[in-house]
Amino acid sequence: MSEESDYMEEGRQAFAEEATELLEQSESILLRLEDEPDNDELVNDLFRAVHTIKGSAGIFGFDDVVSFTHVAESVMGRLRDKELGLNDKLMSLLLDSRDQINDLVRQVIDYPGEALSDTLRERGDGLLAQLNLYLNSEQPEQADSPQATEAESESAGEGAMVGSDCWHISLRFGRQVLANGMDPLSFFRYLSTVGDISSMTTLATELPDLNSMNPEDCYLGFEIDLKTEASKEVIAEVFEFVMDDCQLHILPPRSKIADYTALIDTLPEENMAIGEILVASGALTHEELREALQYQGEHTVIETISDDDHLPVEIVSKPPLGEVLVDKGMTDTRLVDAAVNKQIKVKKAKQAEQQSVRVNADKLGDLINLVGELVISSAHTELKARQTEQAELLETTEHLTRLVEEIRDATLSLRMVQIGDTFNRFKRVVRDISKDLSKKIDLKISGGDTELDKTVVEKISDPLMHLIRNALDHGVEKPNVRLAAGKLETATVRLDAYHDSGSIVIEISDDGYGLDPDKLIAKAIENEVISETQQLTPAEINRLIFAPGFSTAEEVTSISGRGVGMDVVNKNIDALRGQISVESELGVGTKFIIRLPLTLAIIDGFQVQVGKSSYVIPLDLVDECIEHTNRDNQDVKGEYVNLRGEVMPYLHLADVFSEQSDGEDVKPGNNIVVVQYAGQKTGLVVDELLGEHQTVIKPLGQIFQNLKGISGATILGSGEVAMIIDVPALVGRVTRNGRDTGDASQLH
Amino acid sequence: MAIKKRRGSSVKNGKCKLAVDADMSIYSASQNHQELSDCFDQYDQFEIDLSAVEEIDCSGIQLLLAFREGTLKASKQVTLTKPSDPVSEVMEMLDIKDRFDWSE
Repeated sequence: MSEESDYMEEGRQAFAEEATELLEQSESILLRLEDEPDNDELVNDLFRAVHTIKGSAGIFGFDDVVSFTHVAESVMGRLRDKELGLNDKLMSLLLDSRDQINDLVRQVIDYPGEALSDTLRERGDGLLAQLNLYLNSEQPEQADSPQATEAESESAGEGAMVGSDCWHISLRFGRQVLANGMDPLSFFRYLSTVGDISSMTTLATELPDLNSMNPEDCYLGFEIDLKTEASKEVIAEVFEFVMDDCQLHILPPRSKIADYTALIDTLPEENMAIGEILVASGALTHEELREALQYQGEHTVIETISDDDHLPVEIVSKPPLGEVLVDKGMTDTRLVDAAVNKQIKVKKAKQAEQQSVRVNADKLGDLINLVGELVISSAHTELKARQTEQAELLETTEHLTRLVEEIRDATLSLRMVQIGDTFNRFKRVVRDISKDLSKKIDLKISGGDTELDKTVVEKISDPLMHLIRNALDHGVEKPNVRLAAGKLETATVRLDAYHDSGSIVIEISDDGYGLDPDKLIAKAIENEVISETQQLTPAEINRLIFAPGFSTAEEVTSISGRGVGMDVVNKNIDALRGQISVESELGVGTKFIIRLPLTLAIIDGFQVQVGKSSYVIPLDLVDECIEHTNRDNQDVKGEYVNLRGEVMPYLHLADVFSEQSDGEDVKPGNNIVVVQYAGQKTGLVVDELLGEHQTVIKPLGQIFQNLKGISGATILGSGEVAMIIDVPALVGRVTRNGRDTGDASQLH
Repeated sequence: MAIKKRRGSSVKNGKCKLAVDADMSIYSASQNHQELSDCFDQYDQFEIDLSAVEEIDCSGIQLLLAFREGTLKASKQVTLTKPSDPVSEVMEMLDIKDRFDWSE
């Protein structure tokens, strides 16, 4: 038994990971189903996800999970077969069932071998009772497709299910089994008392030549389909005495077999999922999995083409499947080809979509750091090579640089994830909270496929949650208030993400109360954030909500309103080198706009010369470069140029950073780099344009933390340090000063 | 001898008629294997009479399978004949009857 338990131990983690993924998937499917109840594809996906969880749980003998999941799956099966309609009540039940499965999975993973807690069990029983109501309700005739409903009964055993009950048992006996006095045949005889062996395939692939075989060794393997009402334990007990001497896999019954084509279509998917667990747990290698799947495909063909033909001995042996089958006159070429092609296709598709490797985030971090060093060192090399003026050397270094750039991009893209998963998590939050608050709220998500750095995604999740909760709790009115205000009863909360010049923008907006400026000011004065005499622009008033301890909600609810939070949100976003702003109109709604840099590690920079120093401007923010012609009134503060009919403010970096121009080769302030941030164009006057530079962002030490206008530093190829310009800060300074005081160029 | 050669076997025309004894279980596996292997090299065509078999287990089955494999590879022929009840039962249970050629 020890082998078995080791194997379980190894597989457990893989199961946990897969189950977690599938459960997340089913949650988002359920939530989507709420919006599109007629989407059959979703119902299918849901069924598959839950089915796979059940199947995997079955492999590891997590019977609590299996028995509950089984019933939930059966209900989903009826949903899929259109025997049930989806309504709010069923939806809630299915969501609760998902949670229950989730808790059950957690339980078996975290506390293996322990009994379920009473609360978990009670909740499970309650849910089962409700689920069974859906199973026992009147059921349409299934006569024309007897196999259409998959129904496996296990310990759950709830009736009202039709179809075949085929367990798949995969047996590989150890060599010693005969010598140990056990005959596999006797197990099969016993097995046939447990259930009806509907199909038995004897595999003799391991059988050596007559001359080289040891007649006292057992070389045979068996694939058995068993129809039974018995539970997995009972089936496993059949093989109890031989457990140490064989490899036994008992798979719960397969998913529905509608017709032959559908079978070829659907079968590999299921097997692939299970196979992957086996691969992950080390029980199977990829090669073995492939063979196993190929065998399944062949098996399928045989079974489906003719009831009289049976699997030949050679079927799993080395020669290509098609040849063997056709040679033996077992089947016609077309079907075999179809099956084989299907296998290959499914395999490829699966590889494309699912072949992923789990890597420790630290390792990835190390890799990115190393690539950062590589980038710096390659810049250095290139510079040195240029100094030698050797054409060949230059050529190779150029090639090298290009490769390094590709490596950099590829490495960084490893950490890029879509924000959609994070967004989808909020659907459930919105659903649950709106129920709690008896509000009707619709969450609209767009731009879920926008990618950003995983580290950023992780850190943005909490602030987003906070903003969403805020929007739900005191952003949005109760339905009667909304109706009275002439709004739609159902409020809309939007989550939107998109890329905008090197940043990712996330917007959270609601069509609720909006911020009340008078209340904000009153509260701010009360909290001594501002003085009574202070005059504020509307934007500044809105920003007051980011002040510490600021909450305008009159009542504190369990969800929000304690006044901690918005300042924390602001700080968190600051820490990501991002910015948050708020737009609001009283009675119309509120919109929070978060801007985040795409990545925190390496960027494409645009290197410029100001005085004697080099500066780097993030290239994504650079719009264009123009010649600075309007230089007569240089000493006038608050300068603007006419950019193709557009008024564009600009500022002198030399003034900003107090650079002394050496004034010999370069004409000071010769060029304007036009940068764009948050829709605002600003010119930065520099002395010289030095071109693109791969920039590894090195955070500044604590002393420089409060330095305005600088977001970090980088090391140039020459080993010199160049400052990275904090464009958002400069743009913000220009626009604010421009409006308020007309002084564009002074930073404090 | 667990496997007897019948009359009509002749090295000359390569035909060999064999009759297996009562036991095709693990207890006789080694002996049966030895005798089948010996015959295998001498003849091209085999007929194995299974009418006397009273007991057969996996070792017997895999011996027959291996023998049949061997004949396929060596372009020889083997037919089985007169399966006893125990043989039929096992063949049916394992669903391998069709992997052999049978003669009356």
